[in-house]
Formats: sequence, C-alpha cells, structure tokens
Amino acid sequence: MMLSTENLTVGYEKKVVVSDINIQIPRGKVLSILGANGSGKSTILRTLSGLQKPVEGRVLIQDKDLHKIPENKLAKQLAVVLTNRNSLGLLTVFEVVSMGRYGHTGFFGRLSNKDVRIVENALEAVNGIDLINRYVQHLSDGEKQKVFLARALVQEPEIIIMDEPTSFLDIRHKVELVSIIRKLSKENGITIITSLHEITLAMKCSDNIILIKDGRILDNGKPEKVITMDRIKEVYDIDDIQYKEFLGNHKGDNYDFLDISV
Amino acid sequence: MNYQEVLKKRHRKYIIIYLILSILLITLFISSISLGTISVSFKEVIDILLGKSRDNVIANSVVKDIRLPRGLGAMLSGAALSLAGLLMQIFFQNPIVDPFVLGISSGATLMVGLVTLTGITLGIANTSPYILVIAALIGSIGVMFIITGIASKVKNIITLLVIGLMLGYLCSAIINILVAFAEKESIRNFVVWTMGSFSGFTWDRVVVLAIVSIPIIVSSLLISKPLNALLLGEDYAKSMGVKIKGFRLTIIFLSSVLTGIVTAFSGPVAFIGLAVPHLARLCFGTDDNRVLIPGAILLGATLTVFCDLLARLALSPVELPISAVTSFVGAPIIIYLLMQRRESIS
Repeated sequence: MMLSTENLTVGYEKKVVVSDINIQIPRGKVLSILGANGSGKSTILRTLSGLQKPVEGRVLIQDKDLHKIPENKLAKQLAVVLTNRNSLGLLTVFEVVSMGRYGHTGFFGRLSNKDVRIVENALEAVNGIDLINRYVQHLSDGEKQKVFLARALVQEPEIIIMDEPTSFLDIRHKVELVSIIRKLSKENGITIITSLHEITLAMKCSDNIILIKDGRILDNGKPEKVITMDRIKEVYDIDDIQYKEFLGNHKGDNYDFLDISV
Repeated sequence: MNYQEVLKKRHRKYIIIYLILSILLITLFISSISLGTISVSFKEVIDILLGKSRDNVIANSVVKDIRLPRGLGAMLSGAALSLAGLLMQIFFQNPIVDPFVLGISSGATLMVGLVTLTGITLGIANTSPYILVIAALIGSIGVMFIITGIASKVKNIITLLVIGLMLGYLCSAIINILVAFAEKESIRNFVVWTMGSFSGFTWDRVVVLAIVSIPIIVSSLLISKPLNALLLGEDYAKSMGVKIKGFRLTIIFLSSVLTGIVTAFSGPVAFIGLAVPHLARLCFGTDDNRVLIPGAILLGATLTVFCDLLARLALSPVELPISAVTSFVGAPIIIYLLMQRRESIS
C-alpha cells in the first residue's frame, strides 16, 4: 500500500476529532474525504501529511511510519496543497512553483536546467504555463490553485494531499482541476488524497470515498457504493423537509439530488 | 518559451541594481568622511585612507579617528537593522513588523536605562565600553524569547503583535519610573541615547559591531533558501523539508542579536528596519530572499550613511537625531514608490 493508517486517531493535543481511522490507499488511486464543515476532514489530512502528530495510531507510507521519516526524505514522497495562503507579495508563478524543488536543489537553492524544465513541465501539466511570468497576487483563485498544484508536482512526490482544492473556484476551474487530478493519478501514478465539498466531483474523480460523521468514519468504499441518498442526508444532516423545499418534487435517477453541489 | 533566457535577463537586472547601489554607497561613504565642519576634499580623503597624506594632522585625525569609524558604524548599523527587519517580516509573515513593533528595542532601551539611570552594572565595571552592549543584548534577547515563547502558543499574528506592543509599553512604564527617580545628568545621558546617533562610534565600538554583525550578515545569506520556503507559510515550509522549530530559533537569534548590538551603540534607530526591506522589494521587484537579503543589506547601508550625513550637515553645527532623519527621508520615498506601483508588497 502507498499510504495506510493503523487505528489512527486525529485531533489537537488530547482533543480527539476523528478516531478509529483504518484506510489503505494503493499507488495511483484517488481517495476523497467527504463530511460536513467542522467534521475533521482537514485534521485528518494534516495528520496524513505529517503536519501534525496523531493522537493515537500510526500513518504508514509504504509500510514505514511517516513520523519517523526525515523531513527532507518525506518531502520527496509526499506534497501538500493547503487552503491557507500567505500573501505572496512580489513572487512570480515561476518562483513559487520552483520552491517545490527545495529538497532537490543545493544549499542556495540554485536551479539547474533540469529543475527549470521540471517547473515548466509541471506548469504545463496543470495548464498553467502561460502564467509563468506573472505575480501570483494577480491571479484568480482558480489560477492560484493550479500554481500550488504545480508546486506540489515539482517535488516529484508519490502522494499529493489536497485540502479542499475546489473551494472558491468557478465551475470551469472545478471541472478542470478534477480532470487534472484524474490525469495525474492515472498517467503519472500519483496517489491523491483530497477533501471535497462537491459530491458529484468526488464521484467523478475518486476511486474511493470516505464519509466522516460525528468523529468517526461512517462509510468507506467505492463511490457508487458509498454515495446514496440516505448516506448523504445523514452526513450533512439534511432532513426530508429541507430537501423538498430546495428541490421541489423533482424526481430522477438516484443521483439527481447531487447536482445541488455544482 | 525558454525560461532560462528570462532568468538570465532578470539576473542581469539584479546585478545592475547591486552595482548602482554599491557605487552610491561608496560615493556617499566618501562624502560622509569628506564633508562636515572641517571640509576635507575627496582626493585628500582618498590619500589619507591610502596612507599617502600624513602632513595635515587635523585632517588626518578628523578622517581617521572621527569620521571613518562613524561612517563604518553607520554603514554596518544600517545593514544590520535592515536585515533584522527583513528577517522579522518573514518570520511573522507580516509586512508591518520591525524589531521596534515587537518591543525588542524597548527591551534593549530598558536595560540600557537600568544601567545609565540607576548605575546597576550587572557586575561589569561601569567604564567598560561593552557594558551598554551587554545590557542592550540582554534586553533585546530577553524580549525576543518572551515573544517567541508566546508565539509558539498563539498562532494569530495580530495577537502576537499586540502582545509585542504591550511588552513595549511595560518596558516604557518601567523606564518612566526609573526616570522619575534618576539624577538629572543620568536622564540627560539616557535621553540623548534614546534619540539615536552614530556619533559615539569609536574604533573600539566599530570593531565590536563588525565582529558581531558581519558573521550574522554573512550567515543570513546562507539561510535564504529556507527563508524563501517560509514565505509560503510554516506548513508549506515543513512539508518541503524545513526543520521549522530549529529554524525559528535561528531567525530569532540572528535578528535579536543584530537589533541588540546596533541599539546598544546607536540607540533606537527608527524606520530603517521597517522600511528598507520594502524599498528593496520595490527596487528589485521580487520577494526572493536570495536577491532581497543582499539588496536590503546594501540599501540599508546606503540609506543609513546618507541619513547620518544629513543629520550632521542639515542644521550644522547642531546634529539632528538620526531617527528623525531616517523617517523624514525614508517615509516620502516609500509612499512615492508605493503609489507608483500596481503590485502590492504585502
């Protein structure tokens, strides 16, 4: 398994947020985590990426305890795309993306011709090569997201962890990002773990989906098995009355209700 | 498109700016030695510095014993303060931070106040040229560690800044109490010190400043790579392999020693630490610390030498407080440059 967990409990110091997480993700697969706001998706992702320690249990990357892997070695195996963004002042897209070469460059971070090519290739992979000379602060949210995904790619990781990558994006950028995620997993064999709010997008891009509710995993499996109307109502605490008020008496196939998210 | 060409072009631009700044620094430095109540020509200054002119005893003494150490002191202090400001702005991920905002200089001022106002000498002979240095260092590092200790618990930057301001007020409160009970002569000495001046630079002090600040200035160039990673935030830096805890301490150590040492010799010099990093960003058009650190060092040295020259000459023979001049010169430049640009520096 590329990444797995053993009886993992995540939280802050002693405060447990989600417990008993046992997941296994093979190479080149996409795992999406769904859950209501505040359910602990980000805490799980931060723990899986080594940014915070587990309250209990272990995270394993190819059977090695993640927290025992040295930082510089881990950076070549795992990259992150986070929601919190610093104001990037006068940094260009090239400068931000090339920072992902941190573990691959020498003491002063001088880029070789090969490093520059890798940065260009990563920007091409996310359809962002035209942005290369622009200041990041001038980009739209969708463009920024591509830049940060390219930054993760130049680390040449086997795993990319993305926290709510589609938030604040318009429909075009959401669809584009999901297709990039799909391509990276299928063509480049990168394992991707992400949290999403859009159920339809999660179904389109994921090999597996985890549902989080009340501090535990409610369900875990293939999208068509996990995503049912009852499950979604349960995860997001939506009752029948709210449903009918929003959608009227619309009837269709099993997944019509999912359109509300995109 | 071949991005290598773009990079080369950009590097050429940086080198040209470095060259212009270096020429400006050298010109201003020689001017600061040449100009004053006793005027010594450029040629004579260079002759004296090269040891070719020994006949004019007064000119020799003015140049070698008074103006040269002062010029070097101002240059090193400017470089050190600019670098400390830049490090702090990156560390706190906040463009309005300088050592003064966080109370670090207030800590140094408090300790210097204790020594000059109460005669407490920390076990060192009162006549030692190092006593103010040690007092200021203890003050600045003390406040810096308090701030960092709190920083590890409080993630919110605004909260940290408010705590820094509060520490500054606390230090000021203690100083005010000390002033209320101090003798007139001590108060005068202390007030003169708080107004900031490079006039106290003797060779002894320049040597101490150089021994402390030059290794730090050089070593800051060596940490430009992890500093760049930190621009994206601590989480990103950690995910790229930066050992955050140790690195935090390194930045704190370097910037507090720089601030402490300059404050000890020159008093609290305002504006340089806050503004020069911004000026450097605007000049070079980048936040890349590999470019910005040498840029801020050069620009800080240049601007401070210029301000010191102005402080001496503007209303000669009265010398203006250096902090007044740095703010007076620097603030309009910053406002002008910011209005000219479309890009925001924060």
